[in-house]
Amino acid sequence: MFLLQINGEARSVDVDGETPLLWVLRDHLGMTGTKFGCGVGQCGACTVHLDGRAVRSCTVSVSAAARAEIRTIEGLATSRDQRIFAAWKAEQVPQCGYCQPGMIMAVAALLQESPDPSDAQIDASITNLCRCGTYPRIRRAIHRAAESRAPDRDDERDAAVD
Amino acid sequence: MSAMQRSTDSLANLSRRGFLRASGLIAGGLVVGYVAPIRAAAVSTTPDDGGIAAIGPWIRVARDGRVTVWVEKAEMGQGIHSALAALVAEELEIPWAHVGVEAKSFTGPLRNVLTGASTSIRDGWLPLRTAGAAARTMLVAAAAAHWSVPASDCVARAGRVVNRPTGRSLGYGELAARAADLPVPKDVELKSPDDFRLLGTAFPRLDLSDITTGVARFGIDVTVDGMLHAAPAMSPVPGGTLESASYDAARGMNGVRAVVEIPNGVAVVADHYWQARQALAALAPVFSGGDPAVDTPAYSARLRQALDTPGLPVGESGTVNEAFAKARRVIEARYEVPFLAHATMEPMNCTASVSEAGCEVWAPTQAPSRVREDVGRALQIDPERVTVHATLMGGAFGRRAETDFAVQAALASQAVSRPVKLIWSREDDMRHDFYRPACAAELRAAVDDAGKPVAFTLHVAGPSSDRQLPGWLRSAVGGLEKRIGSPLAPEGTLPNVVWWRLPQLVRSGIDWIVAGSAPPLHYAVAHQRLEYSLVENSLPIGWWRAVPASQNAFFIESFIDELAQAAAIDPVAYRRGLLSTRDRAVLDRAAQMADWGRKPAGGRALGVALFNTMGTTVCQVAEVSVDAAGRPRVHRVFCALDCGQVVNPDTVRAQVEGSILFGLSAALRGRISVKDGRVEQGGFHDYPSLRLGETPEIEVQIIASQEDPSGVGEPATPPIAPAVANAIFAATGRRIRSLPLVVDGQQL
Repeated sequence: MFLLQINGEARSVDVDGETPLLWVLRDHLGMTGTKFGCGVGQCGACTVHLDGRAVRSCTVSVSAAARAEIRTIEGLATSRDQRIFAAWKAEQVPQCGYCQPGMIMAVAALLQESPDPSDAQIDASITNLCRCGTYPRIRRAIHRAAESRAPDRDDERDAAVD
Repeated sequence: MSAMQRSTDSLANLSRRGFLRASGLIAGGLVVGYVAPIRAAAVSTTPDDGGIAAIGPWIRVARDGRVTVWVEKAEMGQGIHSALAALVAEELEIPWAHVGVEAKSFTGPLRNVLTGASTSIRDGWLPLRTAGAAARTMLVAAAAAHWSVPASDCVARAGRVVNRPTGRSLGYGELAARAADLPVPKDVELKSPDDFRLLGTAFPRLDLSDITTGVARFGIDVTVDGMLHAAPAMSPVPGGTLESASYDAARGMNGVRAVVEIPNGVAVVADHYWQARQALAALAPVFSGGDPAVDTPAYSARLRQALDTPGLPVGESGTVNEAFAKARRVIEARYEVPFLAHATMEPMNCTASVSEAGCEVWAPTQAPSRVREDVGRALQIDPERVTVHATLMGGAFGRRAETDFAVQAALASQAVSRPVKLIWSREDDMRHDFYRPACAAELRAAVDDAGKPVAFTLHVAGPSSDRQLPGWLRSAVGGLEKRIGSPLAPEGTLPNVVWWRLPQLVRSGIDWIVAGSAPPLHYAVAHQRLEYSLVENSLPIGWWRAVPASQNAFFIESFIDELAQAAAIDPVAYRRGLLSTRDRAVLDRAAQMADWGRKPAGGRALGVALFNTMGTTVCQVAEVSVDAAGRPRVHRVFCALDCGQVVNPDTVRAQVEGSILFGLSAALRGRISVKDGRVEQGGFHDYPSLRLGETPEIEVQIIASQEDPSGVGEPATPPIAPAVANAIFAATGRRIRSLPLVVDGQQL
């Protein structure tokens, strides 16, 4: 029995402790936004956040993940900060879209750490695979998201003026 | 082209039943051959309980005026769900914000439906626009009848019908029920492209929001009540069978329900996928037998040996032998390319549920009709009792036109009498692909005093995609046909009713997947011949993006560059004089975009390639540098294409970008090799795929055209390999005659 903190909610699962977090999310919790691409951490399709860091969930056992705050694409999609989704829509980034949730999770972690990343920083940290070739648009969308204002910063600025 | 295009031929003498049948016939099939008529009873033309009226087989209008377009083609990232809906929406006069799209399930009488060969827009261009125009006409007629005014007083605009003299209007939602009861018009006028409001604009795709938020369901995400999960193991040697396995070890593990035999393999069925995967490891199946694939070094040698003697002629224009005999100079070269994997991001998978009623399948598939046939055959039931729901696909590139994964899921479900979702591992996916064939080619050109080609032959040696004959017989037939220079049973040698049943290999001898079709050159060369030599390899081959063009463009466009070099003529200038006016415009545009003729800084060089496939001509210029270790880096790609009229220019650009990167990834490092009769590669560690950090800047320009749309999903893949190879030559003087360009980090 494991108690997981996922997207701010406590969820309990009865699985073998060595089950990868990826399959617990998909099969036991019905959260299919996190995708299976290789199972060995090479492609990034299964990227989630553990305590704010991008992690490939196929390489993390549920027992290890139980100690962390887990965020999935479903959580990001309902969060206040929609800049990445807005940028993805403006640039019409996805083609088949299968890699995109994992890609977006990786990008969200990057922007958290480097709010205005250079192309070199993007190259180094976004290593998720896309077989459809959406990379040029991903790059443009990252810059677009970085350029748009974050909701929290707006609130703080307005509050300061008042 | 006339300003008002009539689609009279499509709708001549039609009753409503005829309209439905014609729409289905034209829009439903890639292969025009046997197509079963649609039973009118299967399609509702009256409002259902939800207040929704179906107008024809493609369009549904809800009370709130929201229009849903049903599509039969599969979405694999090429944006055609939205593009096909747009064809309807344009003629229907409905705002894009009111449009939805839904994939039709495949049930009832068998019809031939396939998504591939870059034909979705070409197939749908007239029929879907006609359906939209017909529905619009019926809605206008319904409004006119309601107001008791002539239809000519009314006009359809933005989802409403307006009575021009009075200014009153009614929404489509209010009119739909009445419209659905009206007779289908015999004759509709389609809009002139000058009047398009939606087509030709960068309208946003309808499905991207769900995709980015993880809500959209791919095949692997399907969930069915009572579903179990399965993980398969398949013989690594083609055609091998299960020899032994630790059944007790597997069955004793948590959640395991059954161990099921599948063709050339075995599957474990369990409550959850991870349990099935773990139990499969415990099962430790041992396979034996089969027909080992030919190891790569040996196969290369056989390919080259096959090129030493003439191939089976596929097609000839002019008098090739005569032209070569008279030639002043003959230039020849040999090229070789490896097997390539599709490596879709979503591994192969399928969900099936066998019951008394038959079989219901949820498949990420390009070929729903093939799934129905092959699952029916495997379960020994009438294929019309197999229903297929085609899901979104996480990439396909031709791989999901096969049905192996669907048959496996169906057999697993049958064994446990429960729905089963069967998922392949990445390793399974890499090792049990239907590969782009490995092949070698000899190209020969007779050139005149100016160095221009007057005669040309392309001889391709490679495997066969025939699956009807055992390998040894395939090899024997191919060898015999090559020796006698003719297929064993050409058309006319046997009564048609018998002839059609013979394998393609015996009827025509050629394999389009390997050799392509004649004439091989898109250039104006009077004497050309295409030849094919079958060199047997049991590794299955199939359709890989652009199919024969994927290898032939590399062979041909690299060789044309060699001819230009031998003639001391600039590669763009060399090609120019040999092209049609239309294709010359594509070449000129790409050259202009790249500022061809400049000397780029930083040791970079330019290479050009032009190819026509699936009705579309594409020209690419690659700007490449080569480091001290001989490794190429592609900095920029300039791409011009003529694909006729464009439904959505942004989607076209996305497809071109994607096609280029798909081809570039393969050109740089794509290589499936065989050792000990089996595929060596098993994942992205040994079949590397291009990453964001290595992506060149890509510029795309679409040549404006009034021609009907031609293929877009694949034609931009073939030119990138030769464009890059030609740039490497320009940078280093080293001619590349085999791919991939980089192996294990080292240049070949």
